[in-house]
Amino acid sequence: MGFLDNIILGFQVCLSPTNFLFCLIGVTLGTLVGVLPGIGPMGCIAILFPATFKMEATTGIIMMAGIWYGAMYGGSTTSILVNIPGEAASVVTCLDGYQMARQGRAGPALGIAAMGSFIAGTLSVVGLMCVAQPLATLALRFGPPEYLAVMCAGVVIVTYLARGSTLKALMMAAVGIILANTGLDLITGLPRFTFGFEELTDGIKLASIVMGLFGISEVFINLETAFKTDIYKTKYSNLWPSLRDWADSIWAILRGTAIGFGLGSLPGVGPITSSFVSYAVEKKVSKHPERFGKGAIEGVAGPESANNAATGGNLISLIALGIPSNALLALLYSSLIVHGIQPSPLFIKGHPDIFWGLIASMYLGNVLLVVLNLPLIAIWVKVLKIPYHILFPLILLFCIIGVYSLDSSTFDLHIMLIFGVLGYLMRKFGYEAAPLVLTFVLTPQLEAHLRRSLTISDGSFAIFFTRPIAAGVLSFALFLLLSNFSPYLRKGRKKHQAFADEEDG
Amino acid sequence: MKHLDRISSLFWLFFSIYIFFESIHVGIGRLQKPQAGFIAFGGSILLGILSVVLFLQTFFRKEQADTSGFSIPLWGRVLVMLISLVVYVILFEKLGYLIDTFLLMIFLLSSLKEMRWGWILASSFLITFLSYYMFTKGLGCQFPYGLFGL
Repeated sequence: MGFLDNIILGFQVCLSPTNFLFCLIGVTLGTLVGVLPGIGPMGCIAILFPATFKMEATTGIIMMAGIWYGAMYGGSTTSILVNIPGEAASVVTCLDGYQMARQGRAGPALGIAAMGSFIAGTLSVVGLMCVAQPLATLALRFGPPEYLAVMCAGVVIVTYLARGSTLKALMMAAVGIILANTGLDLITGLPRFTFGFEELTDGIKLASIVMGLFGISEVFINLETAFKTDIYKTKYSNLWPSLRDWADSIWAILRGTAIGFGLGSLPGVGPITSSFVSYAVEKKVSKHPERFGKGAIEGVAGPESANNAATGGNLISLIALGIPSNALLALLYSSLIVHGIQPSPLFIKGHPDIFWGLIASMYLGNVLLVVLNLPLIAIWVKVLKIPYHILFPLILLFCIIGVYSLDSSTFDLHIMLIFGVLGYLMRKFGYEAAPLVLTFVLTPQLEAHLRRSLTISDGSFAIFFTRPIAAGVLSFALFLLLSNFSPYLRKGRKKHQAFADEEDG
Repeated sequence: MKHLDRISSLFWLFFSIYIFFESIHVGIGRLQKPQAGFIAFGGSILLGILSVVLFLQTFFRKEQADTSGFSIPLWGRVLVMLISLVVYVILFEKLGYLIDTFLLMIFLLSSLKEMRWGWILASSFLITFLSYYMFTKGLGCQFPYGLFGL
């Protein structure tokens, strides 16, 4: 099938009434959780994750992806109007977006954020389309040691870029590995680590873990803070940026797109880092860096484009290699596994309807998002006024229903509550949940590749260091790990952490 | 944070020791032929070593004033919510979805802010029935009937 045939196939899939509807639901929910502080795309996808089991695989993945990139659009609204990022990747948009709103230029700020997101989102889908297939072909040469090496590198990068301590992130990765071993052994079929509970024979369910760690614990944390949103009273009727605004922003949008897509394609680097890097680059290349922080439109256009482009870049490793590079993609990965579809280099060839359907849905979703975000901005501003004491019972209820609906088991609900408490304590004690979820999802594959590699090499670990790709990737991962002990290299990481701290603040 | 790190590192250390022995009990096999407990064994060693490093770090690390921790009144609010959820889950199959969820919603909606009872009851009723209808009819979920067959 030619390129054009594939695109036509994609649009045929995504324009079917069901897929179109769920694409619309996904981007609308994404915008909603992007706008609402206190719940992000991860929490929303976690809540809806069990619902995807009852859908077709294509429908489920179209909706989940829609939530993800939709949240990037929605996040900018609160950053600009309220100075509260609805989504972590929009933290940096507060700096200039809110200042623009204070100067009575909320309309152009919202407009350029939406248009930049649209351009970047669309270009990143083009990039994904062009890069994923050749990379998948290359990955067909990978054997078990290479896969194991890439997975290890992904986990190391996620722990390296963790907001807090790398040590604690690595500990969480180890906990994820241990938890994933609950249930029947893949090879012998014997139960392990079930602690006498028959319900654990199937293992701990991912839905219980993610809803506990991201849904319930998020509510617990938010209960400790009083949410108060003061919307800056400003006009946002004229949303279309002027020609001058376009001239100031267009290069920032294109640079943001390149940065977001490039960084996003690296395992573990997501929209948050991309938006901060884009802001730093814009400030660096600007002839008037003193304008930044005081309402420079490039400071909105660049980061908003970067965080949207990063979502397309992030999908590369999942689609081309079958390796999720962050916790959110781990859910997309698991959703496909549940439907009996193994993401791998053969995925594009074996399931062209899903791949091209997803690509086409992202084009469509980006158009829908512009329609949702610009003319309907007044509605999203009203949504911002929903008080948290009304919102949190709904979040809790959706978590409960989501987990219970999987197996009609109250045992899963207990597990969810245990992970809710664990997630709350982890946040208090400075541990991140993302490495745990990522290794929990990757461990079955990791275990299979490790066992296969050791069987091939007759028990020798040298196999990982004598094959060039595996050796190269593992050396890179090792270098990253050791760099934590080097004061010079640690400086770069501190910079990233400073960004993240700013985001928390 | 040092104090919290000491507590958490000891927790993870004991957890790793437990998993270490449990994985030996399951069987770790040989490098040529790893068995069911092999990966968990490796994971427990990794976790154990990292926990010890974190524990030792707390004695050598310089730190500014501790800004983290738990505020008792707010922590209490979380505890009350948790207890309400545990009670909800325990009663879920006994009372049935409709009654149990209706009671939970009344509790949650009235817990953070004082609101009119009429509003709370009406909202709880609406949330319970809409969610029930949406998930049973729309997504084919099955909820327990429990008391009075509701």
